[in-house]
This record gives sequence, structure tokens and C-alpha cells, in this order.
Amino acid sequence: MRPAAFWSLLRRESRGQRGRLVFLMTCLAVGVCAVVAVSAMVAALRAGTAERSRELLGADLQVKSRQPLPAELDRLVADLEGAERSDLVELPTMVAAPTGAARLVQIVAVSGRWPLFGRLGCEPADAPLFLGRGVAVEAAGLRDLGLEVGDEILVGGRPFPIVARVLEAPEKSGFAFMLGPRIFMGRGALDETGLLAFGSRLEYKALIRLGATDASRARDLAERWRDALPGAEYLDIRSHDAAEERIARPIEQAESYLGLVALLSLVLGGIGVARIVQTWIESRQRGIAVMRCLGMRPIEVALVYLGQIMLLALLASLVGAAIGLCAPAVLRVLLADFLPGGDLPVWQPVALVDGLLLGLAMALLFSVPALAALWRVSPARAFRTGAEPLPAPRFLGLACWATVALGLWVAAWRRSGSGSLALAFVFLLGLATALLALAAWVLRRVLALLPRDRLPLALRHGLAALLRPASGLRAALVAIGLGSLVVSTIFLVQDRLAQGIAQAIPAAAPTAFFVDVQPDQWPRLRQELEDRDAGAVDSVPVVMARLVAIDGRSVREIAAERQLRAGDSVENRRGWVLTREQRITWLESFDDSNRLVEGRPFGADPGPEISIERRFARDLGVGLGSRLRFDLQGIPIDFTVTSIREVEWASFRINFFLVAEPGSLEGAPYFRIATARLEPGQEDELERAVAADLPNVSMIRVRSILAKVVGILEGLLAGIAALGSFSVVAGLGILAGAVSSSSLRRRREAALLKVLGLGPRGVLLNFLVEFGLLGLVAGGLGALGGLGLSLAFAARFELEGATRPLLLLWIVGAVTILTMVAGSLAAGRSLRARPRLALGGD
Amino acid sequence: MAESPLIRCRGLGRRLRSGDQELVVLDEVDLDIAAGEFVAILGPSGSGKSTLLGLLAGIDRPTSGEVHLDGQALSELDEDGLARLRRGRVGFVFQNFQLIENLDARENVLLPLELAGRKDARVRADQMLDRVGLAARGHHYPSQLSGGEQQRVALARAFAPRPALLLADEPTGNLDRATGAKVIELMLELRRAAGTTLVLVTHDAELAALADRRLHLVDGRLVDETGTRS
Repeated sequence: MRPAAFWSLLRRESRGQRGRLVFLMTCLAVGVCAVVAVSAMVAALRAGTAERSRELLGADLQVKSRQPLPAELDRLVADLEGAERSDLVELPTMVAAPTGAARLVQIVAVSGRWPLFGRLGCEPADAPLFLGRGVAVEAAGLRDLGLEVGDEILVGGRPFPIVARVLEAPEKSGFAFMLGPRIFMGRGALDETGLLAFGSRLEYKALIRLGATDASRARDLAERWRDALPGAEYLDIRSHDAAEERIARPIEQAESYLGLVALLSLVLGGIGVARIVQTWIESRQRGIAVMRCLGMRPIEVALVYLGQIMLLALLASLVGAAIGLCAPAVLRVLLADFLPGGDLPVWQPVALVDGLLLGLAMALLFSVPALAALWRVSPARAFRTGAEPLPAPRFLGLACWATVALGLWVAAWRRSGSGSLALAFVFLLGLATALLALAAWVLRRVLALLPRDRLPLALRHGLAALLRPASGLRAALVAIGLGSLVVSTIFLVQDRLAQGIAQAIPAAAPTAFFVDVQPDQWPRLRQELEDRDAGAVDSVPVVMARLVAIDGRSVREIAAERQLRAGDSVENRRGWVLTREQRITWLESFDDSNRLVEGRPFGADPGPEISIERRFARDLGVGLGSRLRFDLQGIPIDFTVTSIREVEWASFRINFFLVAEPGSLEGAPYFRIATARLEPGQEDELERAVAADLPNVSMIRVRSILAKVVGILEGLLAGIAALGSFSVVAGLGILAGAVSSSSLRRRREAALLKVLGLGPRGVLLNFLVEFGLLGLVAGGLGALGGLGLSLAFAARFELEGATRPLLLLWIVGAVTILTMVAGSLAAGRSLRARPRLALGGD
Repeated sequence: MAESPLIRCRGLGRRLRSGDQELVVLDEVDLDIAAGEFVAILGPSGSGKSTLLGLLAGIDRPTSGEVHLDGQALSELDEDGLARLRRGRVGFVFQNFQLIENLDARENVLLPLELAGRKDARVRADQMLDRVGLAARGHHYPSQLSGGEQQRVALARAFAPRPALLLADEPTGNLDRATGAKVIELMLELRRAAGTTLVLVTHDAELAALADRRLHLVDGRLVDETGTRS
């Protein structure tokens, strides 16, 4: 057939099918929208982090320590051509307004030009920053304390003038924002606060911007400096690209799992396409037979239909992708506090092309098995309606479904980046589909056995419609069931996570932590707490130390060895666990949130003993009898591991990975951590008192941090739930398509019922019952599947709380109502059928 | 040497399954039809007339015997080969018109011309519509045409690619007598002009009388007008 003839046939064949084809497009567009939304969000996040990795770190290279930075660093930086350096000293502390309002903030004291990367946006823009005693405060801090530019703020109990409101500043990343807003000042001003006297929570940072010749060598330089700098085990040396990699991992995981949830919506869209194409071809049998009589080959007829499907798929994919591309903007709103500054780039051409290709691929995959039916249309149908269908080529059916499975695997593999996860996805999807189809079949058999005679008319008709052979609703039932399964799973998991958060603070748990309490300040703080009838008051000493060696082997050596096996994030983390600054306490005995799982209580060993938390011991790679050497500000001290503990962290009591035998750390400099349980009103009052009298003490309010965590988590879960609900929408699209394809039969039936005396309301009631029953069955089966999946998920990830199956009633109810509405809307034309249609007219 | 017939059937049989029973629709039919001949096939309803027509064009497969069309054994061709053989060479006129609903009249006539790859398809379609008196109705869809008009479009479609063979299955069966007569008159006129071989299935003895030869199907067997098996 010549291309011109092909195109004109392709164009003409859509006539009279517009309604049906709109449903085909809807099914695909919904799926493509979900897929592109995820791709666009991930691409935007990636682009955001790649573009801003220097901004997030504030440097090409960052060297950080709890101790003043070594002088050798000055020499190393001086050797770099064109390099620029700025130094920050950071510490958390309580600040107050003259009115008494107080809160925890992060002080950032700057020497040199800052920032080296990113933008510092202030109001007024020309404020004299980092000069004299003037401080610049992040907008949230000013708002919380009720202050304005020009007012004074008490830092370390001393007044400092506020010269600017900070609207945007680099280096705001991760969860740091939860501790509080930042206050920027010059290094000289920090000296005047008097806070340096305490010093245990200071962090020194050198930020280095490399010259043009070294710009691409940040990672190499970091490696070299780790070898070159003395006491490098006390230093945290990071390059901007390594920081980018750390962020990339969770983004990859999100892409993998969210990508599969989105793909499921598209697969449902594909099922819808298959069903619509099938009914389309069924309705065209006579015309196809005539075309075959006139000399068209089956492949030519198939190409005409396929061409049309692909055109529609392209259009649907474009619409879906255009909507999906807006996702980064939505994400920006949902995670406003959590994301680094600046907008996420909305225009994601790769996501767009990816979505288009996937939409087309799904349309192709799922329409091919339906198109295979064309080979069975006998031209003899033009003569005899009952002409036997032709035998289809034997390989066709099998080859089609094998292609669908393979295509799905490839698509899932592309989404998740994991072949085995993709295989599991295809297998579970196939299994769920088969089980739903089987359940639908069994249910149909059971319902058929029910005596319907005594049922009310509408129920009788609804049941009959559901049981009618070739009602075309089985595919809708499977699709809506799958949608319901996805949403039920997400809903139940979400509920358990929410329960976990709600139970995060046990009734008797402390609600405030006090960090950096100097030993002589503790009696004063305890008095303050007792004056306010605080409960759960507790305090322990903390010594900061570095782990130097395990069983005589340097931790640097062990960490370097682990680094070689990097790529695995767990191994990386274990490397960091070795070299970070450790907090050690000493205790006579353990409370009930600790349980010895190996070894014995302190006292049996002649030398200093130490007890380690089980998972931490695993990460360090130590066990009972291991010898650990710590460096306590220059003094080495050896411990033997004599017990391994399990800690119930959810108790919110003060607990440590490392607990030393009493007396073993005598003479070492320490500070105290304290906890207390207070009423919310008392927390404000205490915060003011602490800021005024103990300015170096940081009071961390657990409730407000949890509220922020809950806010972020709820935003994320709402996003995932929205993504999951796409699958229900796709399922409803399939239902609407199925209903629309049986439109003529429904119209005739409706006309006949009207002739027999049933009013329009009665006909509507019949439809509502039919679709309601379908929704109930599909929703119920999906919810049962969702219950099973969520239980498996909760067991796998050890989620807190209990699964509440009764919540599923909401989902079943919602699915039932949505199915009723979607089905009745799709059958709208049938409702308006005139009685004379039953007589053969229209 | 005698010219070989356009259609040659030998031992042609067609059986259909109906539940547990096997129904003999055609039994041992031998038939030769020469190029340019007009043959009428008569018989009561269900005697297998339409089935025979389908077998002659290769749109149905016999259970026994063989059909040769223009020297080509149809059993040697697969569905694609049969489609190619019919393309532009075999025309059909059906009792219930069988116009494609979603194509307008002109597009229905265009279809076989396009399939045959005719470059003058549009011009020829317009000529044919003019020839059947429906030049002004080309943009109308089948549902907007009367039965007689639909059958005239079907005639235009059938004759447009100048087929060697036209198979007509009771072309007046769904038309009133007057309209039917006009359609037959038109069909025969077009046939005469193109020199097309015509195999016409009909109940109508008067119409059959116009044929060069009349064959009767009785109990699945073909007998000529003299009553002997052909």
C-alpha cells in the first residue's frame, strides 16, 4: 500500500470513534504524567545539586574540625595558584531579644570574603556585613524573636546591633535548619560574645575556592591533604563533588521506587489501551472484513490501526508530559524548607523525551496483542455475520505477551536501574493481575449462584450486568483493583509511619535537651528545672574523643581500606564512623533502655572497660575483647570492650554508643548533657531564662524539631499518595473506556427499559448499582492485596505502630463512589436514550 | 486450443460445524466460468450460494476441492497472497451494501483504487460517482444515503478499479423492486462497458434470465438449467 493511501486510511479510520479514542488518550496521559512528574522531579533535584554542589558546600574544598585548624593548611592553600580562602567559626547557642523571647540559633562568624560561592541576599542590600559588632540574622530568626533590622539581639547575654535581614545564604543543607536560623557576624564580634570561653561545641571551617588551574582537582586535593595534614583524622576534608555524590544516592533511591509507582499508572494506562483497542476492533469487524475483501492484507489493516494508536499516544503523551513537567514546581512548594535555595529548573527535556518514548512504547506494547485479533477477522464476514474467525498465526499470541513482559521489564529496569527489582516488579504485577482476574472469575461464579429473584429490581439488574458474558468490565475490574491495591498499600504504610511519629515521644520522655552544659552550670540549670516542676530530669557527662586505633591498628589505615571498597554507601558510612569525633560518657549502671546482649557489667576486667551499642560495634568492626585506643585532647587512653548493648533509642532518654567504666576518664575535660520533660508553655519561659543566664547552653526543643520532621514527611507522603492515586484515575479511565465501548448496547437496553415503563431515575439507579458493585468488588479485592503488601512492607522495614485494616473501608468506599461516578458519567449518553431506539429508530 | 476459463472449480466442498453436527453446504461442485461471461446462480435460502461466491474469491476456504482464479490455485496462497490477488481484480457487490460506515461515499470508492496503487485514484473515483449519478453526494456518509444510493456507491466502488471479476450477492435483496431494477440496469451497463466477468447470486428468476448461463444450487450441488450436474 502506498504511503498516501495509508495516511488517508489512517485518518479516516478514527471517525465515529472520537469518544473511545479520548478515553485511550486519557489512560495514557495519566500514566505519562505520573512518569514524567517523577523524572522531572528527579532531574530537577539532580540538576539542582549538580549546579549547586559548590554552593551547598560553600567551597570547592572544605576543611572542618572541632579544634582550631592546623597551621600547615595555610601553607597548602598558599601553594595553590589563585586559590581564595575564607574561615568560619560556627556554634549553636541561645540568643534572646531584649523582650526576653529566646531561641536556639547557629552562629556563623566570618573572616575573609564570604560567601565564595552562591549568593548572600540581605535587606538592606548594602548593609555593612561582618564589620564591628553588627550581626545579620536569617529572616526566620527575626520573625521568631519579634525583632527588626535596627534592633539589638542578645548573644552570650550581650547586646549586638542587627544590621541586616538575611533572605538567602549558601551552605544551608540537610537537617541543619532544624536546629535554628543562622546569625552571621564578623570573627571579631564572636570574640566579644564571650561564648568562646566554653568552646566545646565550636566548629572551625576553612572554605577554599580553587583557581582555574585546580578547579577540577578538588577530589584529588582532598585526598592529598588527608595524607599531608597533621592530625588529619580530626579533620573532615570534603570536596564539592563528593558532597554531590552523597546527595545523589537518596535521589537515586527515590527515582527507583517512585519511578516504579509511576510506571504502574502507565501500565494501567496500557491495559486501558489494550481494552479500548480490543473493543474498537470488535466494533469494526464488518468494515475490516470489507477491507479484506477489497484486497487489504491483515498487516496493512493492523498498520492502519497501529498508526492511529501511535498518533494518539503521541498526543496523549505530550499532554501528560506537559502536566508532569510542572512537578518540580509542586515539589518546591512541598519541600520549601528542606531544599537548598533557589528554584528547581522546571524545563526538563530529558524527562519529557523519556515520558514520550515510554508512553509510545506502552501504547505499542499493549495494543499489539489486541491488534493480533485482526488476523482472525475473516473477509467472509462481509457475507455472513457468523463466519468463522480465521486461525491466527500460532506464534502471534505467545509472542505478543512475551513482548509485553519483556517490554515491561525493560521499562521497569530503566526506571529503577536494577534488573532484579524490575523482574520483581513485572512478576508481582503479573501475579497481582492474575490473582485479581482469578478473584473476579471466582466471584462471578459465586454471584451467579445467588438467587436473584427476591432482590430489588435495581440490584437484580446491577448484578445481571456485572455477570453478563463479555460485559467488558473484567479489565476495568482488574485495573481499578490494581489502583486500589497501590493506594491501599501507600495509605496503610503512611498511617503506620504517622503512628510511629506520634509515638516517637513516649508519655514520660523528655521534651527538651540541653547541650554544652559546663559542669559548674549544671546545679543552676537543675534548679531552674526543679523550679518548673520538670519531669524526667537527667544529666550525664560527655567527653569528646577521637578513636585512634583498634587492636593496635590505626583507624586511618582501616578507614582507607574501607574507602577502597567504596561505592557501597554502607561501607562509606562505616569508614566515617571510625574517624568522626566520638562522644563518650561514664555510667555506674545502665537504665532499662539498655540491654546487655553480650559480655558482662563493668568491674570484672583490671583495665579500663568500655561498653558499645550493638550496631555501632558492627559498624566499627569490633567485638568483645577488642582493644580501642582513644585520643582525649592529646592524651591516649586504652579501653577493652567488655559488653555489647542494645539501646531503645525511641525512649528519647540520653543514650550513648560508647559508655566507659566510671573513673576511667577522670581528669578529662567534659561538659554535660541534660534532659527534662516540660509543658509547652514552660519551655518558652525556660528558654528565656537559659538564654539570659546560661547563654552558651543550647536548649533543643524536641517537639518543634519533630513538628518539622512531621511536616516534611507528611509533604513527601502526600506526594507519594498523589502519585499512587494516579493509578486509580488510570483504572477509572479504563472503566470509562469499557463503558463507552458498550455504549450502543447500553443505549438499546436503556431505551427498552424506558419502553417497559422504567423512568430515567430507575435507569440511572441500575447503572449506579452496576458500577457501585464493580467498585466495591474491585476496591475490596485491591484493598485486601494492599493489606498484604503493607504488612510485608512494615515487616521488612520494621515500622512502628499497628496496621489498621479498618482504614481500608475509607478506600473501598472512595473507590466505590468514584467508580459509580465515573461509570455513570461514561454511560451518560445511554441515560438519555430515547425509547424509540428500542424500535429500531434513533 | 480452447481458452482457459477465468474460474475453474473442481470437487469443491464446504462443510460447516453446527454444534455436534456437520452441515454440508457445498458438495463436489465442478464449475468453469469463462472470461467476460455473465453467470447467474440461483437457489433457495441457505443453499450455499453466498458460500460459493466467497470460495470463488478466496475469502473463504473450501474443506475439499480446488478453485483456480485466472490460472492460480487459491489453495496455494496464504491470506496475504489472496488479498493481493483480489486487489483491483475482484469486485464485490453485497446484498446489504457493506459500505464502510466511517468513510464517505467518495472515500469508499477511493479505497480499492488506493489499495491497487492507482495514481489517478481521485479522478477515477469522481468519474465513477458521476457514472452512477452520485457526483453531488460524494461527501455523504453511508448513513446519510438511501439503500438505492448506497448500492450505487457500492457499484462505483466495485467497478472503479476495472476488475476482471465481479461477484454480486443478491444486489437487489434489500431494495424495493423499482430501485432494484435501476441498480441492476446500472450494474449490467457498467459490466458491458468494462467487459467484466459477472457471477450473480439471486433469487430472482427474471433477473437471472438476463445472464448468459444460469446455474442452480440444490442441496449443495450445482445443476445447470437443464437439470444435469454441471
